[in-house]
Amino acid sequence: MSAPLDVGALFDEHHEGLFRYLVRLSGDEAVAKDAVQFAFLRMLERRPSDDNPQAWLYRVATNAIREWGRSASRHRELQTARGYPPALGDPADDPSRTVESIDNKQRLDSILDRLSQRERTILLMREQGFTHREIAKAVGTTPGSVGTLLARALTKAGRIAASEAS
Amino acid sequence: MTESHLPPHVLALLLDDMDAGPEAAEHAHECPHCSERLSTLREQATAFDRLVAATDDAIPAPQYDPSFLNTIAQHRRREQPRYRRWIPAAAAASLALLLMVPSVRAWVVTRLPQPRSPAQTMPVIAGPTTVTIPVVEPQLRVTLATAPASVSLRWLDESVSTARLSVDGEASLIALPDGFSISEAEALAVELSVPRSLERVVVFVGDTLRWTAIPGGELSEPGAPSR
Repeated sequence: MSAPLDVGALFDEHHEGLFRYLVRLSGDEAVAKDAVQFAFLRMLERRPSDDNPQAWLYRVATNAIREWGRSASRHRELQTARGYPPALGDPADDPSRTVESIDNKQRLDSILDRLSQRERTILLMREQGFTHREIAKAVGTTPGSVGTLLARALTKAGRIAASEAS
Repeated sequence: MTESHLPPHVLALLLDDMDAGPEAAEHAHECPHCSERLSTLREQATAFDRLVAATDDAIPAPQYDPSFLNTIAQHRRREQPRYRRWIPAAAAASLALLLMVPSVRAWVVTRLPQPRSPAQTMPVIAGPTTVTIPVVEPQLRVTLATAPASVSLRWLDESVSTARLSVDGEASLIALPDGFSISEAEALAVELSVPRSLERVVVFVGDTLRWTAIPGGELSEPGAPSR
């Protein structure tokens, strides 16, 4: 019999990284927050079959973002109807955020916006240190395809960055 | 040899230091074309890594819904080993039993500050100290009328089951709820945030049990005539 999952410890360890990953993936802090909550609540409902609960969390949250991306406006309507807090304010309002980091965020967003959802997911999951096998499971493909897509996405990102810099 | 350049997915494996096989590694080293492709890929990956890392500050801390945080906190308590859950209760029960012994109780009373006013009827405590636990708002208000003017609180994480309020001077107030958080403050009256699921709060002054308060119920003070 497997030991119970310590979801509290997993939350402490991973929620911030997961949130940042989802903000970059979705470009929307409110949606990212909802996806983090969704993934952890799902984990409480049913014990993941995955040996790596962190990879499971990222997979579930990524899928949620993908689903909601198709109906983002509907999702926001739903949140408003539930009385959830509105999306977070303008990043420029927060003094802890430096002008430089906001500028970098805009550059990153501009690159990510021009990649496909799958390419974005692969690049950002790689940033989080996941293996090609774990990324493949999250995006529903083979590890070999992840490698091919990763190489292509990096080249594309490099070209976009270079064209924007010139 | 031009036909046998490394495919992109093998370059990606080499990029991430994953096992691509010794032949691939050797080829990437010896073939100028593949070596350059891998080098370019590394540069692109490094630039992207740097850009991502540089955006960390631009992303604010997440602000989750209170109901979600409560759910996680409840799970945390459920997952605590049983013996840990019982430690605060067992400690409180032991102290309560100890206080039932007249000689111990008499000794404790002599160690406590005396009430300012003879009109006060609580024999054990120092003054009209009150604990109010509103049912609706998960908060606990502690007011120490006879304590020194400054009450300093240390920030404690919700996962910590013991919280301590240090009062300037000799006395110190220790609260042992079954998981809660307190805000940093300096005041005579102290607000503690307690989760809705909190079953009881045990309050100590110094090493002495002061009250056991049950949210939504009456506070009890071991040995007090009102109880």
